[in-house]
Amino acid sequence: MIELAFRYLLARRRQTVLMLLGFFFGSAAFVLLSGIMLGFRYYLVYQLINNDAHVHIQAREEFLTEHSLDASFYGMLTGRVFWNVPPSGKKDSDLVENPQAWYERLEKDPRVVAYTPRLSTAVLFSKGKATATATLIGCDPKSQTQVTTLGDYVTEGKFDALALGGNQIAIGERLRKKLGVTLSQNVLVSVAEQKPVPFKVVAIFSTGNQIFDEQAYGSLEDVQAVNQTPNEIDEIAVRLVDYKSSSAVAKSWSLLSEEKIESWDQKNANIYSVFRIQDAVRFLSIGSIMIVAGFGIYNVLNITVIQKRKDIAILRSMGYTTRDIVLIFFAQGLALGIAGTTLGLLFGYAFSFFLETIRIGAGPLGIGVDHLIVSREFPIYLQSAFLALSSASLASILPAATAGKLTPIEIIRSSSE
Amino acid sequence: MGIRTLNLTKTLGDPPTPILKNISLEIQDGDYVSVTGRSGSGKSTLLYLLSSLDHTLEGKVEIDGQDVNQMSAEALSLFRNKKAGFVFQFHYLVAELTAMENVLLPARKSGGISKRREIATTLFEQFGLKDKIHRLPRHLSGGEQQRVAIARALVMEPRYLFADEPTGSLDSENSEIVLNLLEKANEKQKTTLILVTHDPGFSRRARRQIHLVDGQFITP
Repeated sequence: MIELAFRYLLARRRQTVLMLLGFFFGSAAFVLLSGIMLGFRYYLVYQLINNDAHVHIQAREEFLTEHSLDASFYGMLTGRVFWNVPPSGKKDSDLVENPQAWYERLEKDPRVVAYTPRLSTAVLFSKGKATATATLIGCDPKSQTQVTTLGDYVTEGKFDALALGGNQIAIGERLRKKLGVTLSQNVLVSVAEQKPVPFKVVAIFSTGNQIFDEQAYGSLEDVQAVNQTPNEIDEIAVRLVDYKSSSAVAKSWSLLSEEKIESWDQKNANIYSVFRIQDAVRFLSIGSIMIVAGFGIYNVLNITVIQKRKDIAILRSMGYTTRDIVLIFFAQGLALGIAGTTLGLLFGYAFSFFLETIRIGAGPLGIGVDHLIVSREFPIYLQSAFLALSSASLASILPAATAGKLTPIEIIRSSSE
Repeated sequence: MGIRTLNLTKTLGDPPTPILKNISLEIQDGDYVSVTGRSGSGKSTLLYLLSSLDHTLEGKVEIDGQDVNQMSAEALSLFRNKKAGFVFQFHYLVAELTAMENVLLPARKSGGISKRREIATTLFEQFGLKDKIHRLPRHLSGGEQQRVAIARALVMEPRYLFADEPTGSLDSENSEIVLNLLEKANEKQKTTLILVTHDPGFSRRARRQIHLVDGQFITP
C-alpha cells in the first residue's frame, strides 16, 4: 500500500514538490522564528535570574478595606463598623520586622544557596550641577555577589571594596553617565531634606539592563546610616539552588510569615504576559502557514482521488479493503508532511547557526551580546513537527476517507456510461 | 461448489426500474458460461451480482454455498483476492506501475509475491509479452494492455473468472487473442469462466449460453 502511495507521488513530481515546499517553509519558519524569539527570551530571563535574587522577602504590604479597622474599635467578636468615608490606602511597615528569624530559617533551608539582607532607599545623587534620582541599595557585598552575578558585570574597580565601609558605592553605568562621574570620584547622596553625604565610587558595573544600571550599591551599614534607620532592612534577597522552583518556594514561605514574598517571575509578571502574547503571535502566524500547506495537500489529494477512481475500483475488485484504500491516500499526504517537515527542521537547525553570526550592533538590551541568539531547544522542533504533521494528517484523512467510501460498482458503472 | 442464485432481482434508479427479475441459475465449478443481451438487458449487472461486486436484498447469491449478503467485508475481500479474477471492457491498469507491477497487485495485497512473480512471468511468456514486462501501460498497445489485465486476473490462479465484455474495445485480431487466453484458463486450470459479451460468435463458443431479455433470461 505504502509503495503504491509513493508511486502516485513520484508520478506527479511537480505537485509533490510544491506540497512538500509548503511544509518545508512552514516548519523551517517555525523553528527559526521561535528560535529567535525564545533565544531572546532566555537571554532576558537569564539576566533576570542572575542579576537579581530568585526570591525577595520584603516588608509586608496590606491594603486597607472598609472593615480592616473593625477589630480595633470593638474587638473581634462584635459587629461591623460603618463609615461615612471608609478608610483606604496601604497599611505597612517599610521594614522586615524579624529578620533574625528569617536568617535562621534560610540557613537551615537546603534549597537556599545564599541570601543577603538589603535596605533600598530612593536618594538624590549629585555631582557638581549634575543630579539624578536613583535607588541606593545597601547590602552585604560578599553575600550580594553570591545572590546575584552583579560582581561579574563590574567593569571598573572592585565590588568587594564596599565591604570596607566608609561611604563607598558601586554605581551602575547609566547612572554614572548621568552624573558624569568616574572611578574614585565622590558623589553626594541626599535622602529627603537631610544634609548630603559624600560617597566615593569604588566600582562601576554594567549589566546591560537599564533598570539595574541606574542603581547604586553601598554597604548595608552605610546606607542604614544615610537613611537614618540603623539595624533595619527592608528586604532579604535569596538565591535558590533551582531557580525554577522560585514561585513554589515563595508560596511556601509566604505561609510562614506576613512578609511580602515574591519570586523573580512573579515580580516580572508583566514580562511574562508579553511572552504569552509573543507565543500567541508565533503560533497563529506559523499555524496559518501550516493551514495553507494543509489546504495544498487537501486540494491535490481530492483531485487525485477523482483522477484515480478507476484504480480504486480495480483495487477493490482485487480484494483491497476500504482501509487499504484510505491508507494509500492518507499515506501520500502524511509522507509529504513528514518529508517536508523533516527537511524544514534540518534546514532550520542549520540556518540557525548562520543567523547567530549576524551582528545586530548593541545586542538585545543595549549592550552585552552583539549578535542574534537563536534557541535550538528540542521542544521547538517537537512543536513544529506536531503542528505540521497534524495539518498534513487532517488534510489527508478527508480525501482518503472519500476514496475509501467509493464502491467498485459505482465507479465501474460511471466509467462505462 | 459453484455459484447459485435464487429469485435474484435488482432494481436501479429513481423511480426504481427493475434490471433483473427473478433470476435463478446454477453455475458449476469449471463451467464456461456466456451472458448475452442488448444494452440495458442487465447482463453486466448479473455478472457483478454473481461476482460479489454488487449486491441486492431481493433474492440470493451463493458462492461456494455461502450467501454473499451474509459474508463479512473481510470474507468478501478474501474471496475477491484469492478466488476471483476480473477482466473489464477497459483494462484499468494503474498508469504509474509497470506491466509486471500491475499483474502483481493482487499478490501485493495478500503476500507471497515471489511465488506469484514466477506465475506472472509464465503468463507474460504465454501471452507474448515477455519483452514488455517492465513497460508502463502507456507504452503498450490496446491489445497488450488487455492481455496484461488478463494476466493480472489470472495471477492468483482464481477459481472464478468474471469477464465483462473483455473484447469490447479491441479489434477482431486482438479480440480473438484475448478470448483464446480466457478459454485456455478455463480448459487448462478448470477456472470457471463467466463471460459477458455482445458478440454472438464469441457467445456460441461457451459451453452454456444465457441470453437476457428485459432482465429475464432465456437459454437458447
